[in-house]
Amino acid sequence: MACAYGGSIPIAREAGTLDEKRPIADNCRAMNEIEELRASRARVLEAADAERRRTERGLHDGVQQHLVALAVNLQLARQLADSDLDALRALLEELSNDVHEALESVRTLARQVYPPVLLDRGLADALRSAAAEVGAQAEVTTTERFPPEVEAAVYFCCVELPRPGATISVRVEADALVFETSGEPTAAVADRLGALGGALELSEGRVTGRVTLAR
Amino acid sequence: MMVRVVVADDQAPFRKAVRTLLAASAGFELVGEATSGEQAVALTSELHPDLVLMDINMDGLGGIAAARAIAATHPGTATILVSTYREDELPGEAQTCGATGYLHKAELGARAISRILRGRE
Repeated sequence: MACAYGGSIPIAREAGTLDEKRPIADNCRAMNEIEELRASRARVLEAADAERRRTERGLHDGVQQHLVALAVNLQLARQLADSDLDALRALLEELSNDVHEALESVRTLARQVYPPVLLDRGLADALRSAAAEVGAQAEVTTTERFPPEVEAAVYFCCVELPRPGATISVRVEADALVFETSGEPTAAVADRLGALGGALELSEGRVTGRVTLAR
Repeated sequence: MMVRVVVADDQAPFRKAVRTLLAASAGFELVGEATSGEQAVALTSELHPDLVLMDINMDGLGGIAAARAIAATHPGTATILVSTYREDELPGEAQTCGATGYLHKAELGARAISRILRGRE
């Protein structure tokens, strides 16, 4: 079975109350498009809030915990400086490891918020790196750079979908950037593409996303 | 006299730091670690520590509710609430739950703990 987001919109009950001079089918279509846009806007806000919460948790559970541990150990270091220099040396070693762990937390969080490699080197390298982390494969047949919003949309749609062993393929087709993979797309994925005038199609477990490029 | 301590925090790095701190601080002995308020209450019943260092934010029974339960059932055990809140950000219940005191996690040290325990005597 195949379906397309935005392709089939249910008819709203209030549609018949719109401008009577226009054909009722036009009114229905307009009404439904407005409803779909409202719903999409609400989902985008919800997704942004969820992202903020996730970032807050990441800061609290990751970076902050490492910094707290460092602060406690620094209190101890002060204590040891007066009494036990050998123990202080051992503690400083531990502090050095803790700093590395804190830095790793920051790096992980930064990558979740917006992967630096996407910004610096583009879609191909960013997707290969993200796919490798979940045991998937990325086949990107273009090294071209696209507008940041297009690269971000395709990247975040792709990284949300694949499972281990899956393949993500990205290619330029005429005037569109197209990606294909498997997985269960969420409304957030469809909204992200929809905001750029793109579309998402599902067919027999395959997901195809398409963003039209302004050439 | 040795102060027997239980630490309750769902964050491993903090528990590890407390372990290191108390191992190097004369007069303190870490006797138990809990990762939830429920566990802290259970460990207090089992081990009868002198002090529980209790994180405020934990899933399930939070630190404040756990401190209240400990104050009601084990009045001989002191509870010091810890978190990364500034004091003016603390929930009102932190003052009324029967905890002995509050310490910002970054200020946790043997001297700060001793100061709060002395105030209790």
